[in-house]
Amino acid sequence: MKLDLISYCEDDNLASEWRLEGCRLGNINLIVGKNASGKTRILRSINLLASLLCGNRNLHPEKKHRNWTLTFDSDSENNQKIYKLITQDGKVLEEKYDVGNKNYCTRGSLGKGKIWATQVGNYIDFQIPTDELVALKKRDTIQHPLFEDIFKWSNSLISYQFGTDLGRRIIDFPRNQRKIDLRDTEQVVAIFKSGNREFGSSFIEAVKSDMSSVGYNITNIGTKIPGILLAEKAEEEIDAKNIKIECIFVQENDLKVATEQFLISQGMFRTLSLIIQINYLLKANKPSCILIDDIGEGLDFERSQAMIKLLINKAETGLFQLVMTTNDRFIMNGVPLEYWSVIERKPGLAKLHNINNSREIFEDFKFTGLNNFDFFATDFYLEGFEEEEIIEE
Amino acid sequence: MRKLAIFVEGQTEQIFVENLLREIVEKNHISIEVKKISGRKKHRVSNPIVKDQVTIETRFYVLIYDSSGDTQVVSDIRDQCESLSSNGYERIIGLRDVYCKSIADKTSLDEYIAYKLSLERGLHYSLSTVIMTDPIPMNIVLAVMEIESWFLSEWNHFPKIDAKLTLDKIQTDLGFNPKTDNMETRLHPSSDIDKIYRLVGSSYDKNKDQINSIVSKLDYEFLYLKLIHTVPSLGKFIGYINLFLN
Repeated sequence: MKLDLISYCEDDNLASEWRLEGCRLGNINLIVGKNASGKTRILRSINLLASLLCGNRNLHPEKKHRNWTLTFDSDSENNQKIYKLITQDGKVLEEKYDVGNKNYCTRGSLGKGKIWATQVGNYIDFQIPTDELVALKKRDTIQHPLFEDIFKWSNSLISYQFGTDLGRRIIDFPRNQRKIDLRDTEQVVAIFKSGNREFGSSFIEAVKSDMSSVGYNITNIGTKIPGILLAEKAEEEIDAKNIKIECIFVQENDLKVATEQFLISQGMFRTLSLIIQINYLLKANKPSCILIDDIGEGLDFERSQAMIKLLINKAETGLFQLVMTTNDRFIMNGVPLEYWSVIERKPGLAKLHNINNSREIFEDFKFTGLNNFDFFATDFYLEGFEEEEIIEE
Repeated sequence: MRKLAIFVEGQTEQIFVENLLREIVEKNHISIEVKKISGRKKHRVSNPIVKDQVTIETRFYVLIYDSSGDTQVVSDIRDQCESLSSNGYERIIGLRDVYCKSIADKTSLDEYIAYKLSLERGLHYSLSTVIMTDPIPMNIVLAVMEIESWFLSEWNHFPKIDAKLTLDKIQTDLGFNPKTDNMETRLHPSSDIDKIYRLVGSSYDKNKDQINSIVSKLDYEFLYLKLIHTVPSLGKFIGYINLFLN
């Protein structure tokens, strides 16, 4: 299931209103905008809804009024799915799910509603708590199988914030077979260990190969007891079996000794963490959608370009939908304009300009021979060529 | 001494422009420097090709950059304009073809013209967005569809290549007449030149000797005085040069 269109509004008709307009997504997306234009907010709104839909998060009492409408699979009229949710004060005010031309479920603010029951062949009434979502509460593969699609989509959507540590300071404690939460993007050591355990060398080689393509040549990667715990004792003196606290280490081919994760540079670790997590997702659990905020943050020109190329190559396989944000010129120059959405910031509104709603401007820009960054920096996305006369001197 | 910089897309344009300038400006008054810029975007390197002596008589100094590619012309101008302006250059002219790989699949003249108009507008925009400390005029000229259309239009030179290459023979064998037809409507002029050469057992593959051979046989007086009125892109290019010279 692919997310095609998002309509989102916070605090409709209030002074704090914030609305997202024109957010049509393709398989690969780069959302570009100035600081405080709403890039992160867009991803958060998608991630929040996905978290609610898969039960990873409950509705919290909050004053904010939120109104989402998500459209999936819109290329097929019969298969198009539209999910609508309005919440306020930790309660659902409205929830609606349409598949094709048919309404599948509607509920109101008291938790009462009607839902199509497949085996019964009719709508049935229900009432659920006002702080719960029908889409989650009524999961039933026999009576309401179409909710499964939306659950799978939300449950396998993962959001990364590239501008953060991505687990650099987090080591892996004994988990006693606890299931890893792939949404917890700080748990990179645990995810790496799972990848190594479940997929062995194919996982390790994939990580090494991806790191190499970004310009980090590593000959070995694994987990070990953090050096700080070994104090002055020789490693071999420790009965490693009794010490289960581990960190990641990498051996770079131009260094004599391995480097533990805490000493790996910030940019390299972000890259490593993202590569480990995405490779694990691709091998273990086909992700539906990967959100990456501030992609490339902290990387130099060559590595930013290589990182973005790697991610695009992976997304071009069609295995997942990729939505990234940036205001980094290197990243912008590495991503074809057809994948861009540029945010025009107005009071209370983030309006996205992309090839779907501004095709002529996007296509005209190719004739300028300028870098993609200039499309953003010169406001070409807003004005195009304008109709100015060419004055020759 | 007044200074002009001209950025061209390749060797053909570079050789033609150099010869044109030497023909239209009195020899002692012009000094020409030619540089070739090559390499990828972030690693552009320029190498000297020609550098005339500057004498007390030199009135015009023209620096010709061969940008080694059509898409590099405006990009190189944008990169170098600040430095050129601060070094006393008073005008920059860019010269490139309309024809490029991305339109090779287009088949009609209308498609080519639409592409040319979009490209012209795009490149003009690209130059108009440059911010310079001391702005100087920057112009871009598109040879339609290639600079070889200017060579075709200068029909006097064909018999100098081979006496058998008469206008009648070209008309009869290839179906167009460089004297009477508009050579800016030819979709792929370098291919036309090649076909003309093949009529006498030769070929045109843009090697340096061939370009030198054609360029040395062109009638520059005819180009400068007559063709500027009938070949608009040539007229525009020479017009910008005249603005500098005058």
